[in-house]
Amino acid sequence: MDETSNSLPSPKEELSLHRRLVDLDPTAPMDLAVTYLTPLIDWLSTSYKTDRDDLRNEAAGQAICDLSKEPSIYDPNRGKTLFGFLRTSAKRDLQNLLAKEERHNKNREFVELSSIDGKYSRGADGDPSVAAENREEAGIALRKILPVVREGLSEVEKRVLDLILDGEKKTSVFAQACGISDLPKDEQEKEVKRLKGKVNKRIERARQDHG
Amino acid sequence: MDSHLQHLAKRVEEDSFFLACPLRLYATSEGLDDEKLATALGCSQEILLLVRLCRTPRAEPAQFREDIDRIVARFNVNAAILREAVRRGQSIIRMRKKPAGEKGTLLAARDGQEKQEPTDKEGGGP
Repeated sequence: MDETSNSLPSPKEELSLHRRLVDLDPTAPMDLAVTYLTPLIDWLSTSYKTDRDDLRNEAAGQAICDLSKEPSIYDPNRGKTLFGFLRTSAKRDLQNLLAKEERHNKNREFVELSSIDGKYSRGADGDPSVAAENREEAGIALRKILPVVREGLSEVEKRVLDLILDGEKKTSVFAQACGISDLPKDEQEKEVKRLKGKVNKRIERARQDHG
Repeated sequence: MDSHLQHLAKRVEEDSFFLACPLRLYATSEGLDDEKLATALGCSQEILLLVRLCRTPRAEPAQFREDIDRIVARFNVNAAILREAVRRGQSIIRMRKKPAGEKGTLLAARDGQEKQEPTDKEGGGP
C-alpha cells in the first residue's frame, strides 16, 4: 500500500492521533487499530512473502499494541510518518515470528513417536537416549500425519496439539493457551484433560490410518 | 464486522491494557455472551468491538472517571454498566495477581472501590 493512499490519515492527522496516545486518551488505541491494522496487514502481504496469514496478522497487531502502550517509541521529529514507523515495527515483528516458527519447526523434526505409551514427545537434539535413526523415522512419521491431525481441529485444539508436541506438561500452560485460565482450577484441569484426550485420540487415529 | 479488528480484540482479551480484558472477565462473571454484553452496554456488537480496543481506564478515581466519560462520550454506551464492568474486571485481575493467602477478595475490592467512587450518574446508552 502506498503511504500517500487516500485511506490513510494526513501527516497532521497522524500527529494528532499520536498526541492522543501520548495524552492517554483511552479511545486512541482503538483509533490507531481501526486506522492502521488493515493497511499494515495489506502492506505486509504485498511486501513480505509468506503464506502465514496468521503471523502477518499477529505482527501487525503487535506493532499496534506496542505503540499504543508506549507511544514515545515513535518520535515524529525524526521525519518518519506514523504509518512508516508501524510498517518497520510490523516487519521486524513478522521476521521475529517467522524465525521463531522456523526454530519451532526444526525442533519438531525430532519429535519422537513413542510406541510404548502411544504419546508424542519431543526428543532433544543430541539426546543419546534417542537414536538418530529413530528420530529421523519419527520425524518422517510425524510430518506425514501432522497435516491430517491438524485438519478439522479448532484453533484451541491446534494450540493444545502444539503444546503436546512441545512436551508441555503443565495444566496452567494449557489453560493459558486455551483462554480458560480465569476458570476455577478444577474446571481448568477437566477442560484441559478433555482437550488433550481429544487431540491424542486424533493423533492415534491418524497414526493408524496414515502412519 | 472487520475480521482483522475482531481477531485483534480477541487477542488482547488477555492483556489488561485493553478494555477487552476487563470486559471479558465481567462478561464471564455475569454469564454474558457478546450479544448480551452489547445489550447491557446499550450498543451494537460493532460498537462493542471498538470499545474493546480502547485502553482500560486508569485506576486513580479522577482519571478513572475522566477515561470512562471519554469512552461514554465517544460511543454513547451505558456509563453505569461500563464502570461496573471495568471495576469488576480490574478486581478480578488484581485478585489473580495477589499471592495466595494475601488479604483481598472480589467483594472486598469492590467495596473499596464503591467507597472511592462518587454517586453514579446514569449512562448515556439507550
